[in-house]
Amino acid sequence: MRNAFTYIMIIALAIVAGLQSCSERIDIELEEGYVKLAVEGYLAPNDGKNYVSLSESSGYFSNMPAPTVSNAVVEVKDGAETFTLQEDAEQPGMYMFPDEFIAEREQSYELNINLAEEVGGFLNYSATTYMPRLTDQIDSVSVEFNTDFEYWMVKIYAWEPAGPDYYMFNALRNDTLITDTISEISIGNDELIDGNYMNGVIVMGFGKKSLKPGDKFTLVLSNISEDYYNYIIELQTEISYSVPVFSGPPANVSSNINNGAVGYFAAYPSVYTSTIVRSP
Amino acid sequence: MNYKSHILLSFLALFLCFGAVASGNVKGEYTVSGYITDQSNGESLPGATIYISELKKGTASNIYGYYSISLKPENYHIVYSYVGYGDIVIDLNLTSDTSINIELIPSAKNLDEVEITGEAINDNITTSQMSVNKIDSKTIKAIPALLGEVDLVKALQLLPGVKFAAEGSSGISVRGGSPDQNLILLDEANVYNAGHLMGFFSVFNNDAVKSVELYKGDLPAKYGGRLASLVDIRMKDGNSKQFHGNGGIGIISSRLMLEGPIAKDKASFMVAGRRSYADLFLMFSKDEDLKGNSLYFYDLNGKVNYRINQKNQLYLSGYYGKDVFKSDFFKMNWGNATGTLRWNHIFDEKLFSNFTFVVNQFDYNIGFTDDGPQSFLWQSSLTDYNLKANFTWFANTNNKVSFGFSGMFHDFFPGTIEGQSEESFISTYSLPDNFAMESAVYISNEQKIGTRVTLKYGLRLSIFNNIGPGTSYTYNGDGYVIDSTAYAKGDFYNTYLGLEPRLGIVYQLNEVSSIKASYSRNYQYIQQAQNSVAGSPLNIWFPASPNVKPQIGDQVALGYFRNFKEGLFETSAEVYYKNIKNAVDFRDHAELLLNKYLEGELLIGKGWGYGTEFMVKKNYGKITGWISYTWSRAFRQIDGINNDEPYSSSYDRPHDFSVVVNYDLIPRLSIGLSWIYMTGQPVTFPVGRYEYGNTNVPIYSERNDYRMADYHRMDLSITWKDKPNAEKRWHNEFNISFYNLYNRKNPWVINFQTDVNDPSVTYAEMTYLFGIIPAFTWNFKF
Repeated sequence: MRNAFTYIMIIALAIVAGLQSCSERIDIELEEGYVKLAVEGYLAPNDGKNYVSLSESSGYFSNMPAPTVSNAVVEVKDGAETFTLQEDAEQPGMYMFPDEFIAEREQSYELNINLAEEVGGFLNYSATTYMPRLTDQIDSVSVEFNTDFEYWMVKIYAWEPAGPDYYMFNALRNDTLITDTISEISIGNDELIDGNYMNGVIVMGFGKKSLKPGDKFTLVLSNISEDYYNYIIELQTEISYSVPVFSGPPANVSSNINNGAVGYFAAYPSVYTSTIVRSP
Repeated sequence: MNYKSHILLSFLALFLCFGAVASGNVKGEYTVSGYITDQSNGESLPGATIYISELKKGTASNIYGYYSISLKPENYHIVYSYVGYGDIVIDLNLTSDTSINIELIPSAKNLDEVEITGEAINDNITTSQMSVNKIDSKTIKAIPALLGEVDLVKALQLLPGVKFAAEGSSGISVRGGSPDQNLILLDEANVYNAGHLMGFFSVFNNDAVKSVELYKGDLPAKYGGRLASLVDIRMKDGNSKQFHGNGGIGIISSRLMLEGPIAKDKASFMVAGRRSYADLFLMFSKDEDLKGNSLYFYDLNGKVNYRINQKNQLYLSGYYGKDVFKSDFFKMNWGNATGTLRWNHIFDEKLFSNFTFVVNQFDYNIGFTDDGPQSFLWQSSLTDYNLKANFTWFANTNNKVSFGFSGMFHDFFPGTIEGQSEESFISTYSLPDNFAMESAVYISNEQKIGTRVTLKYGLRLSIFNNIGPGTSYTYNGDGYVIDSTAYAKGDFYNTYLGLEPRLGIVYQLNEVSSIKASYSRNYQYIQQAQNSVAGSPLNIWFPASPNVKPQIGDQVALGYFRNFKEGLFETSAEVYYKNIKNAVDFRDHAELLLNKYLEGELLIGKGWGYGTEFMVKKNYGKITGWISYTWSRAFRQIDGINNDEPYSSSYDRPHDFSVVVNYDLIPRLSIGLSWIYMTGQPVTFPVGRYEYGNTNVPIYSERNDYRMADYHRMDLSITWKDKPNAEKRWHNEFNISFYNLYNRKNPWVINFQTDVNDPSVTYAEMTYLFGIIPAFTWNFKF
């Protein structure tokens, strides 16, 4: 379904471009909003991505890396036990899960943050997240070049289990992550394909130069919660180009952290499937 | 006392009122009635005036050119007049009911002094209707247009109180209302999407249009269902005197219109067609991929009318238009279709009636052209069936009573997506049809009291039903479904009643000036799921329901009207205040397309707006046109948006100034010029940012807390005509136009982006649509 919107956007942009539209940088005076706590937390054991990062929001045109927040007490509860995260000595503001922590699927986790100094008017912040089941029966993945779009299309062959599922897709090229910003991540839901065999469903697309025949390509499929899925949609919407014909009014991206903090604490399992990129 | 009996009583009281009117019907009066038409082509002339010199009183013809006035048997001097036409004076010794059909003769153009008896009534001064603007197709044609494509909607956007929704959009905002609050009727049929090519051009082919009237909030009781305005577009009836044609070739499209008598003075026809040809250029493209693409729109208008006799006349008219985009792998089309059958019947000279049956549809289809497993077809439509009966009873010189009813059946088909091949992995996702009935009865009277005061008082009762089969969902405060109820076929499972008073008064200070006041209430039962400013053809309409209460608009207005130099100049000043109950907006990040739980995305609140509008208009002479200035505000307060605080509506643009001038330099050469200035569009800008996923995520200001730069633009057109030659049948006309003459970069959208080279740097980027755009059009007529 998101594909349809993409095409419509392409058409709209083509029409607009065809009608001689132009863009240029302009200067705008903006007030600075007050500072909020920004949280970027992951509990993604299959990806080896288990940390909570704390920083402060800044003025939109501040043009500086975000200030980090150190010396906080960060804890995660899995229902039974409470684990304390340790701030990384080399990377201030990064709080790492302890080695003995083992994440389980289909379970909720609670994050509690106790700051040394108030940020955004509060000392304490918390969040709850849910790690879903994993769609792990992947038959295969293929990467083919589509000449209409001039695009590499990543196709998946797998049974989609019955019941609502929300997916996030990342990609590795020769074992290096090539979807390292959130705008490059692909997401999808099973609304139109629930319980069916995905016989080559296109889940990602890459520009002509992103891949080469012979590359080892790895698709990372992650099952994410509906709430995190919505967070990524909202985020991707807010950072993408806005067109008055289609785009709704700008709106803040939601968050699962309380007390007006921004960002997200997410938990998800992942499965890795590799293939060799074929010649067009 | 319950609500229903309250309504019943109100109607009873009103009928008693009219009973009094009827008993006041003076015996021994006779009626003068008939049709007023254009002598050159037989087109009816709505709004032509009839003035009785002896009584210093008069009336005006209705939308079909019919008039009726009752007088005591005496000798009268009756003056028939219409702007741009010579007056006709009839001396009448009234001894019985008399039928007089009048053919007015268009006066020679370019004269500042047309023959004016000085005895015509100034209809704009005397009528109790206010907040109304009328433009005919000739005026529309004289306004410079984008790419030379003459456009009625763009002309409306230059009127006081009217703004475009966004540049290049066919949506209009009337007195701060949203585009879906306008009732757009083409020969009484609903046009749900007025735009071609995403709105850059409107669906109305000016060659087929006779006139357009815009009613800003103060709708006649006959009409209802929208809060902000009625845009009443009438197609040409077709020349009943002789065969004619006109057409043109422009940059965007080619047009041809043919009209003529089927039986002289009894029956005539009009057909008009238009097709764009951007895709024809693609055929010459070097790029092989582009050659298979097509992107075009077309539309067809047709009308026949048949005057059976003096008492009966039939009209059949229709519109069909489509936008088509097709490439090797993708296709998309959308369009409107309308059909209107009307029967005018005169029961007796005092009772004029019109019966209308309308079918109209808007639909779109999107999908892949191939039939691979990924291929799908997405469809959506909205169809209406509407039966109306309108009666006008010309009770006596002082009372004109209108009454009637309307029943409209809506079939909303919000959409379906289905796979197109055997091995398709796309399961069908379908939203069921939604049925509703929108009905109304109304009665209103226009009553003259003495020579100075005219009252208009009317009442419209609207009834809305949701009809099964259907499912109604119950939502919690966050918009999530918690329960559902299914209803059987034919089940009228939800009903709303609306009592809509329409009141007006005019006090004539003298023959050329008056003060008017009005109050009107409107109910709106259907609305569009649109949260973008400009809107797209994909935005579906949805009805009121157990969850969605009808929007209710109240408007009060006060105005001063003054004509100068025998109607050469018309001036007006109006102030208004309006209030909207149950105003609809959408949750942040709402999903409006193909959403079964669309109603869960709605947030309901209130809206209000106020403003003042000034206009000076010059009606004839070498220089014609108008200057208008509007100062207005429009606000919303909706819980769940902007921390529940009030915010400026996206159409809140306080200052709006426009100038439209047509100058006939010499008979063969005329120049059209327009200039528009508007306060910048209110927008929400980021005031902060945070990092997530190696990306700068914006944190926004209050809703619509900032404004883009002010909008202004000048357009120019130059029209050169053939030497006038009565011998020749064929006439050419060449038009050169410049859109955005001084190349102003008006922001269309402002985006905030992260620098690709340095991810810690963010910047604002403004996109404008059009620089200066020249265009050339060749027009001909025969």
